[in-house]
Amino acid sequence: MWSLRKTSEENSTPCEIVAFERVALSFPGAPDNKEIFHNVTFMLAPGSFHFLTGGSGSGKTSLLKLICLDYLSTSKGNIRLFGRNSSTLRVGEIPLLRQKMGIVFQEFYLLDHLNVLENVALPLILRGIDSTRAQEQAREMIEWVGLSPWCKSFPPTLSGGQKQRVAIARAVISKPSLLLADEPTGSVDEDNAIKILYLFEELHKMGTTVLIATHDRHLAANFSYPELEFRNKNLIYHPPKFVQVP
Amino acid sequence: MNKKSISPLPFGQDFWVICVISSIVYIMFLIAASFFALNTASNQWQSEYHSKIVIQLPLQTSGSDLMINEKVVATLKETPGIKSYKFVDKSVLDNISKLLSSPFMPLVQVPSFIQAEIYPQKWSFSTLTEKLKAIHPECSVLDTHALSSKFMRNIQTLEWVFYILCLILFISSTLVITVVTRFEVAVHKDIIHILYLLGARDEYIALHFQKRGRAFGFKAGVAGSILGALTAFIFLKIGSGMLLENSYLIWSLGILLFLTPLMTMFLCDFLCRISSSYYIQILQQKN
Repeated sequence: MWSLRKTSEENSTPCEIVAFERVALSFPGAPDNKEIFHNVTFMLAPGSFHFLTGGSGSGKTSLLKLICLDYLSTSKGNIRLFGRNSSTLRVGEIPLLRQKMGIVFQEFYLLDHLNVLENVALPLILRGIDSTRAQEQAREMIEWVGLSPWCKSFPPTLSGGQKQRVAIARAVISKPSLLLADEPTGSVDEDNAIKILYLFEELHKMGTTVLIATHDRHLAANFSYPELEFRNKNLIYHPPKFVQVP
Repeated sequence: MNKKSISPLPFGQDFWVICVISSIVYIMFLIAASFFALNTASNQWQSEYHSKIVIQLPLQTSGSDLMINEKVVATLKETPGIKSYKFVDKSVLDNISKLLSSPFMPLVQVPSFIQAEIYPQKWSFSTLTEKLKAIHPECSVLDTHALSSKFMRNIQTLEWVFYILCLILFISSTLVITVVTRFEVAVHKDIIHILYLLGARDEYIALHFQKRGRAFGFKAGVAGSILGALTAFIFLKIGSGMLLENSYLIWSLGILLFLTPLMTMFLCDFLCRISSSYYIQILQQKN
């Protein structure tokens, strides 16, 4: 099995999970060499919780994709993940870093030919866990998101909200160090949206670094976490609006 | 609990791939079977006729002609390189005529013969022919030794044709598997991308292509070799039942029947692994 070679930069515990330094992203194929954002600098400390806000097309999804090491070829600047510089990563190291992340995609990215149980168990199987054990854990996770009766259902038969919950269960089943969620409340009503965010909060309390991209600033305002807002292709940091009473 | 392993790539039906690969296996099996049959036939021919010649005697109708036999025998005894000789009976003659009537040999009519064993290095065809012509103009020497050598040369040429055919078929099967793998990688590129984002390694994805290749390789190997063995058996039965009595040939075909599915399986497994790894890497670079 391929193993991650330890380098001097990795031997020390990283003081940040994600660090962007003057990062710009553009798509050369797009009209006017479309620049999504430029000069983005921020850092996510281990165990932190951030909202990423901005209007549609402001670059939230692109930023999340950059964090999960997609779109790397069209970006400029310095990206560090788990203490590793993305520009010095070898191709074989990328999956190992991705295995430390849990991602809730905006389009869910569920595999239509696998049932709910298999979809949720997939990240564990990719990490080398036996299929039977993975499915046992997946069953618990599905129960947690309240989809037990749909265990054997296939994604095309589920509603948007159900798909969302399957995607969340799949993202958190491997207990990731970093959870990225792209519009995780986009397909659910306000009550369920709050429930989902409480679910992420629980994970955050267990030590997971969480970054939630949402266009709904009012939703983010219900929680006392810092906000990173995309405005005019720049990222602006907003500190928590109030201090939550424990 | 669902205990079956999860296949993250929804591969399509392998029916057409199996058809194409099994056709190639079928042709290769027949080529190999023909190769073994020819080898067996040539070995039989060589062991029986390589160090032998046949002397054709004139039709002997009167008592005076019987003297010819004695003269020929005396000549044979004097000729260097002749080890032994015997008058050939009808069954042997039939056998010779059957072998000589193969597509590689001219058709020979055999009225009456003496079969002589020779030392191939010592004997001279022209000397013996001259001596026999002197006894009677209708006496002639059928040089089975020379015919045997010619036959062996033909067999060797055919062997090369077989090797080239096998190489062509091997290359075409490699191309088929590679193209199928490339097509499947292209069809499932979105799923492969999702798997990458979920943390899948190249090896994990390639492993599923490999498993699939192993499965269709085995099925195609079994189908192709069983059909090939049946066809070879029918042809041998129709062509020359004599070869079917040869244990070497039967064992060779048996081993071929056993090994072909395994070899096809390992070949497909290997090719799917290599080609999928290659195309997945290209896909990853594009992303």
